[in-house]
Amino acid sequence: MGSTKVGIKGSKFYINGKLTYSDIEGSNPGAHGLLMNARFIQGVFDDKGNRGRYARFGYEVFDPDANTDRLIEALPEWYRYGLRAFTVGFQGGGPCFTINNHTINNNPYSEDGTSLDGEYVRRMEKLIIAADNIGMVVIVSFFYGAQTRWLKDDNSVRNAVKTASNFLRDRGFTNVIIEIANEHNINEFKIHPILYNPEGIVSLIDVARRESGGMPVGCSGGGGYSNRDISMASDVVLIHGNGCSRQHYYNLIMRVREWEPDKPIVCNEDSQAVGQLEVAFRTKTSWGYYNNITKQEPPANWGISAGEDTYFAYRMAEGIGIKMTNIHEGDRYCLQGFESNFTFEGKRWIRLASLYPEEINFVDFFRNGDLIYTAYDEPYTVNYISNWLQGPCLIKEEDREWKALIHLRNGRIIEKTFRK
Amino acid sequence: MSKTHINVKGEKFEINGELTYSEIEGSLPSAQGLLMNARFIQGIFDDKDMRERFARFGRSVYDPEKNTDDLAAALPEWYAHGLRSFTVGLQGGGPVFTIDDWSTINNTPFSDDGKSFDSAYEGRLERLIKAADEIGMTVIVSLLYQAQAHRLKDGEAVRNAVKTACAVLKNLDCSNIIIEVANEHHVGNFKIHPIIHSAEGMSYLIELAREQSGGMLVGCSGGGGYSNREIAKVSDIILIHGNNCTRQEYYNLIKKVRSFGMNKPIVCNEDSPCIGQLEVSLRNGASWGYYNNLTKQEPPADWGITTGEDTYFARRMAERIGIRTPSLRFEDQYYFQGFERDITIDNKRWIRLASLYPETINYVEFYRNGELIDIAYDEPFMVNNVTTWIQQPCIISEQDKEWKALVYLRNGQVVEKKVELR
Repeated sequence: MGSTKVGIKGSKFYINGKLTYSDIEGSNPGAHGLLMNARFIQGVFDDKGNRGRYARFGYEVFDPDANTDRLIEALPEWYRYGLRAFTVGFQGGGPCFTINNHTINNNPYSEDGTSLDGEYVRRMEKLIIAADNIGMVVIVSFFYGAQTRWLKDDNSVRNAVKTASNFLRDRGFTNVIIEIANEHNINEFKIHPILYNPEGIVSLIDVARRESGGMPVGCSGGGGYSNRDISMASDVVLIHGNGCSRQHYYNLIMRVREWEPDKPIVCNEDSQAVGQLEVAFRTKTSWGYYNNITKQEPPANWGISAGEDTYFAYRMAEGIGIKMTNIHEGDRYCLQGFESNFTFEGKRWIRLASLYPEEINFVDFFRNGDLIYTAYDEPYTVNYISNWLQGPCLIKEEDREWKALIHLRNGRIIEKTFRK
Repeated sequence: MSKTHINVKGEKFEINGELTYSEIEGSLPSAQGLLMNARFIQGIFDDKDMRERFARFGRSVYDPEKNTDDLAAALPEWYAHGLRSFTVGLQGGGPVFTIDDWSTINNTPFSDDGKSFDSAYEGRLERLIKAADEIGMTVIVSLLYQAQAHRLKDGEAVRNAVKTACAVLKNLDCSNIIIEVANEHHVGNFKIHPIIHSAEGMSYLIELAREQSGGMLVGCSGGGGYSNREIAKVSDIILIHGNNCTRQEYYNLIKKVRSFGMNKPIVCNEDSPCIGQLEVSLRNGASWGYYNNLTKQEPPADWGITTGEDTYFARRMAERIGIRTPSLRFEDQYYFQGFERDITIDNKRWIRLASLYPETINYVEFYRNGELIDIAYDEPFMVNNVTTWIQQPCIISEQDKEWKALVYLRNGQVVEKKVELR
């Protein structure tokens, strides 16, 4: 039996019978019952077709086991900041900045869905046990869009739900929440109507609940999406905030809450925009940090890395009421994207991270003295596409200096510079 | 003879041979050459089938002539704050907040074959363009609106309508006119006319309008965030709309259009009440268009600079051009809007918190009789936000005693605004 038992009463989460965070002295009662989480979707990642291409970011080889082990090592630090759950995908997620998911073979299911790859099972098992040992919950996501092409038909999908759910049940896990599919309504799921249509998802939620022996189940859609039938069939209403402004995200929560006032609402994928986290705390809903660069490009750096990861962790702790050492004023802004190993094909992803992005009006980015971009929306990225996606900068030999001028709402201007 | 002559040099506008705003002492060089504008799309509005439904907002009848004259009378005040252009529609725009089906409005000057033009519309249009001309303002005349598309019977009628409208404009002998062929050419019911809906068709209509008007400046807008290289290429002015764009999306739109490398003015002639967007526009050398559906697109509009959003837009525009206005007290920089006596219909009100400096606001909590009912996080800070330019109404009942907005500023300060209802 597990040592971490997740329970749900009304809209609140309990761990081992106690409201989450209520065990922390001085914690904010408004945060009790929430399940702050992060998207660590590549926790059991592999690419059976072309593993060699992940020997990058300072690693000489990509070792799927070492990838999982490093995540396990990082969990206690995240826990200390208040993280109580993370989402890991049996079929991973897209390394959206560097590799087309349609070229990846990251799938544990046989094509008829009746069996699971033993290596994936081993990695998933050790990850869930490690989380269990320290009081953390794992949201296990069964399907990822582009990887469902390895399943031959809808019947195989149903089988795969049974197989994965039976695995979770047979191991006796008590710290698991099941997400049927990661954003079931996106185009890549169209090849499987049972995953793409809400009616199909509703049936799979029932299958997963039954075959897992009663684990909590839900299913997310794309950013801003909600579906009443799926919400009603779910134990946990899973939402995604990708591409939402704070207002859109708030409106999404209000809409879902009107349908299901007495169920937990858990965002398990948003972005690195911690302004959204504030909306979550204020509406007493759980939020999921998603950083595609630091956490979805294998091999991920699973720790709380400098910049966005740190600021999220700190804001999460602050919202929960966990006392942390103050971040020095000079360290509250970070011109990010110049980490020595974090480059791919000469590309870098440059952005200005901040502990309090609400204070920023806009950020001007200069390359060798030339203004090349202004960022107006959080997260303040060069070549902004969405709150979780940006275009790269191709770094050239001539690049000597990058500078960010941070125009604060109070009129002050802060300068952050990176010099070669 | 026209007194106001508009022309374009590269990305800049000139009026009577001088860069716009350059005649104003102390004006900012960054604003010179821009054409700040507003959407006054209902300037010659009529509903030939059901005019009486616009007898509202304190008016006992709807009089299209008075509507136009009121706008003409309001222009000098707008001019004083820096407005140098406005968009008026020959077929108006949608009263988005109050009429569900805008196709029920009969607001078109064209016969169904597009060959003739209603003389009453022509009279109103002439008065308006001449009133603008008199004071140094330009007019963006929008020829076609999607909710009236069904009133033109086919593609030939559309071509005829463009020719007819351009002949009317040419006949005015005014040089303060810019033509927008269609308001958002690819939206709504324009789909019934491929010549409007497709970029290829629209490119042809732009050329046709230029030729038939005797060489007036021509462009065509698309929906919020839309741009089309083919249309931009054939336009004299690249018209864009910022509806429902975040500041970042609007910035990216300007950047994308500029990357076409066409060296033409970029003019947004429809955005929203979000003056945060105005800042993005000015900082990036694009002209901006204020669009307030509630104060300016629900006939009969109050065409003046009304308290709240209109005033804040006008003042920010003036400030960023370098036109001096007396400063506003801090408490007057935030206005709890939507409770104006006459602006209500079927007990509906559209409640929002307007500000001179919306950038200073983190979020706004709205309370109804002491109960928190909504939080607004994005500008404009509205109850029941839908997009940057649409909100759902609140139905006001007998029980409503007090509405309150708590405005949480980015600096930690909280400003309270309260309205007592009787």
